[in-house]
Amino acid sequence: MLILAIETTGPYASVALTDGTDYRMLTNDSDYSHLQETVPMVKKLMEQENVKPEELSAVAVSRGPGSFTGVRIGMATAKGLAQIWDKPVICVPTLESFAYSEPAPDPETVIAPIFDARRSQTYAAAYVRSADGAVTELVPGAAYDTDSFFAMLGSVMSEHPELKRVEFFGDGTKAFAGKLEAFGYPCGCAPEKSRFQTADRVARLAVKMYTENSITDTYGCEPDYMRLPEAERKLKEKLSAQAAEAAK
Amino acid sequence: MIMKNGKHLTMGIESSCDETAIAVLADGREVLSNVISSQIEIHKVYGGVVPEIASRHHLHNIPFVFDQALEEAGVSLDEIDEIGVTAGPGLAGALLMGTAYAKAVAMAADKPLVGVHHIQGHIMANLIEHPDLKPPFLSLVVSGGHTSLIEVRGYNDFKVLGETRDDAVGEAYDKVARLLGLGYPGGPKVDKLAKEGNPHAIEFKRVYLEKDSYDFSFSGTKTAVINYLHTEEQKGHEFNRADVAASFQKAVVEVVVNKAVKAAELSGYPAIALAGGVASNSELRKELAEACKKHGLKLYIPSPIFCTDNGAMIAAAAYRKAMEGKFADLRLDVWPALDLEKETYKLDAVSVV
Repeated sequence: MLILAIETTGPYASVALTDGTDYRMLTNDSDYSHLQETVPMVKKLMEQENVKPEELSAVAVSRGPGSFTGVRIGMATAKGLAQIWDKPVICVPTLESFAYSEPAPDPETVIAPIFDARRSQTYAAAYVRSADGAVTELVPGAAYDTDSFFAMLGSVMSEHPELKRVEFFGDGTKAFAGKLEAFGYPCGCAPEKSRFQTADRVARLAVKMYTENSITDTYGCEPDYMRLPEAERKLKEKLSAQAAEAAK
Repeated sequence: MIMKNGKHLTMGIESSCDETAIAVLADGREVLSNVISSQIEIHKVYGGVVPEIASRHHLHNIPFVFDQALEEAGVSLDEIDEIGVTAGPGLAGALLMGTAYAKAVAMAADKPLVGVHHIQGHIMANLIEHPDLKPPFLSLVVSGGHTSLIEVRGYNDFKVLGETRDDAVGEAYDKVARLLGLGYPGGPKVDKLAKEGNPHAIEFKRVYLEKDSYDFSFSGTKTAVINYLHTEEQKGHEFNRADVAASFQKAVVEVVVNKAVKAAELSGYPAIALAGGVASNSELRKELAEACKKHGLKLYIPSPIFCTDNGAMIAAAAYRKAMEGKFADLRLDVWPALDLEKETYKLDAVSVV
């Protein structure tokens, strides 16, 4: 097994290669240049690791949520590569990939990726990983009103006294700093270096998905934006308001 | 170099607005395939192109359009000599999709990549059906986003004589169409309605700007239409929509045609090549043809299928760039506002990966 993983949904683009044991990653340290750097990084990493396209088992891509544009750059890149190389695609849920962080958080720590979705919302989720590596979803990945998410997470903590603290990841750590401070349970932000999306996590979850045969192809892989385009949302609101008015 | 029956094959990828389009061209002029997946029906309900929605659809469509373009051309990717892609100007998110995909394909297939300026593509669309057309010539580019008079000094050498200072022709049409309740896209609808109206019914302002200027301004004409409709409504007058459409179209086309002909005569170029989506406009075609005949100028107009955004025009431009060794590298970026005359070097910059 040899998987190439692409992650462009967060502030820093990265690409990783794994055989399921070793993980090699290249990261672009400057933000806002995902388009420019992603394909050259893939090329460089494959040359560096002496991997030929025909040796790849699949191309994995972080499917979102995240920056809409970022999600699409990785997805378009993965689609193009997989199509030409005739490889399956593993469409990796971005929030869940944080549950596969290494080194492994202790089994009493909740892993909570929180992304700033603006409009008082967050794309967020919460997981816990046992000593044997099994991941349990505590709060499913979705777009939440930020306050509702923290309330849900608080309920989880009160129902599970065995969970001692929460480690937050993602750009929401900055955007919701005040809410983190007011969160009534022990918590902290992941260290700056591992706080944001990374391709090695995407690769780890991709390995699991690959062994479970959870794969698709260029034509079937779709982003998971978790939100409609603004114009479409407004149009739907307008139409449903009109329908309600008509029903009266 | 791999040659298909001795021919040089270029792929062109275009996604700068709401068309996902890929084509294969042989020797820069012969169209082997020209697949266009239009999103016009999707955006109609919004009254214009919504960039986020366009980007989402480009991403979904592009691999299918790619396969179809190769299949219809009857060639394999191995036989393609280079891949051209529109890297600007246009909607940033939309440009990103074609460019990210093209880079992945170029890297995966180990093919040279060419970054193409969208307007160079529109101009080069003229070469496809006119084997006799060679630079130098004058080009009048009219589209939803552009209105420019350009000296085509060489296949890759342009001098912009003038361009719009506010709305592009297509934008003005869309806005007037909205005022008349015609919907989107406005160009073809205004053009159609105008056929039923009197172009001299209302004398809308012709905006020529300073003497000798080749720039354009259409917002004044658009405002004149707004004011007219407003006044008529206030007076309680019924206005004839077809007359408004015809008179507006007349005011716009007259200025565009007069400036183009004057530019061709003063610069000494014997030919005008019309380009861009609005080049399909029947009144513009008719008026320009008459004016060119009167002034002894040769007029080139692409078929409508090559006037709309399409991959063949991008391939035609990419071929010309490839012939002069103007290739992009895998770090190619997109440029939503890219100047044709002064900035196309940005597409070709060579840097170390």
